[in-house]
Amino acid sequence: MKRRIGFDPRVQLLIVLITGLVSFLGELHTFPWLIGFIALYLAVQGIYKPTLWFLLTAALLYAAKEWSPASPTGLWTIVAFFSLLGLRLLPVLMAAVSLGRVPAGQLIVALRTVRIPMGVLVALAVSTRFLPILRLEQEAIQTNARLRGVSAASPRNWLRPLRTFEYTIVPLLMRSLKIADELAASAATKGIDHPGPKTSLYPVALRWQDAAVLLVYSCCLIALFGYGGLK
Amino acid sequence: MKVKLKTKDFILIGVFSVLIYVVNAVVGFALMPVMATSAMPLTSGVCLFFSAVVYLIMAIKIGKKGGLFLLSIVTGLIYTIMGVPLMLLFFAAAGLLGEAVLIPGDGSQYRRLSRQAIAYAVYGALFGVGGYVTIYVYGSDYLESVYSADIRDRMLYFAYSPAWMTASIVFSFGMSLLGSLFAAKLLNRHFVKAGMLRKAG
Repeated sequence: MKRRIGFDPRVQLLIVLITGLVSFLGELHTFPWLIGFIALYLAVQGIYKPTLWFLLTAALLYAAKEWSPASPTGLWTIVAFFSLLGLRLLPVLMAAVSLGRVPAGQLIVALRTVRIPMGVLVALAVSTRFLPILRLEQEAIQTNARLRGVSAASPRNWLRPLRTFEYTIVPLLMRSLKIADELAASAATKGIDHPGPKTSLYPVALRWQDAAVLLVYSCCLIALFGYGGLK
Repeated sequence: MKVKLKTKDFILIGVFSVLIYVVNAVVGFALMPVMATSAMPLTSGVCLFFSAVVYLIMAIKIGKKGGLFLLSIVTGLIYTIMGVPLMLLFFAAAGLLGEAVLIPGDGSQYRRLSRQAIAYAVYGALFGVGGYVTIYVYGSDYLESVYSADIRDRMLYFAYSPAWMTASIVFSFGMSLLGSLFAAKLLNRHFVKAGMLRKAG
């Protein structure tokens, strides 16, 4: 069996937050290094396939950015806009993939130690887990909608935006309400409302790999910013 | 009577804040080619029109104090993760303002469509100018490598134009209310009929 390195959820969240800040404040010419580091960070955790997709997307976005004229007009304005925005968001999305794979229970138990209010913690943990579920639900709904000729993906239906929106959002909302009820029932069964001290199957402790990844990441960022990578 | 939010409410807020974020993002991206250079500050109003239905269902289902505030916190946290921590403070302020609209009453106001619609419109009015707050605080430098030159110039023009900013606030407020009207029809036609929500006032 392959051995994969796992990081503490608190460290993973910290890496997402730092990456977000760097993506927002950093110069674009440092991004290949940033993306490279995050790709390595994902690879050591055994996340290979999404990492390859992200690297491919980064290459495409860089190509689109390079091919865009200096003063884009017409369609090139949109291409330039989305390639720049995509490159800005890509490192954060990559870092968030790792956090998104942490089981909700482990995330809650780890973040409880940093004294985040329980309500915010539960809402945040649920929201990070819900995005992939939302995508699957949307795909299922659109498959049905396509059979009935009311799919939002069909340009014919864009002429009736309100009706198309209704046919898309109503099933999605109904499913979301059901999912929220099921999650609440599941959480109640696991004793989330119990007022006493809670135990968990997941050990919460910072280990050598957590310190190592933060140290290496900090060194990388200091080196990048030392060479004018910060705006 | 003081009714606090419970775990099931927190879960519902977590699920619906993602839905609201996604609806706003999809509508925003779809409008970008059409409105990016001509009327960017009005984009948020159209987004709010569509996301009003998601908010109203969440708000009526919860029917307690703090729903809008927690929604604004989670939305702010999403932006914080994306590298704009300033948005957390901004959305918290918008959420508090929205909650303030809901305070007067005996508790039943949290299940009234009209009150929730006004609260979301107040929140939405501030939400509309959220993107420009980063320009005021961080200056125009950060735009340089995010946007191409023409979009950057247009954004700066919109950000420092009192007329456009006023139009954005008024349009966002109006479109949120209009979206709530549309949402009320959907709620009664689908969700109340299906027994998923109680008939709201």
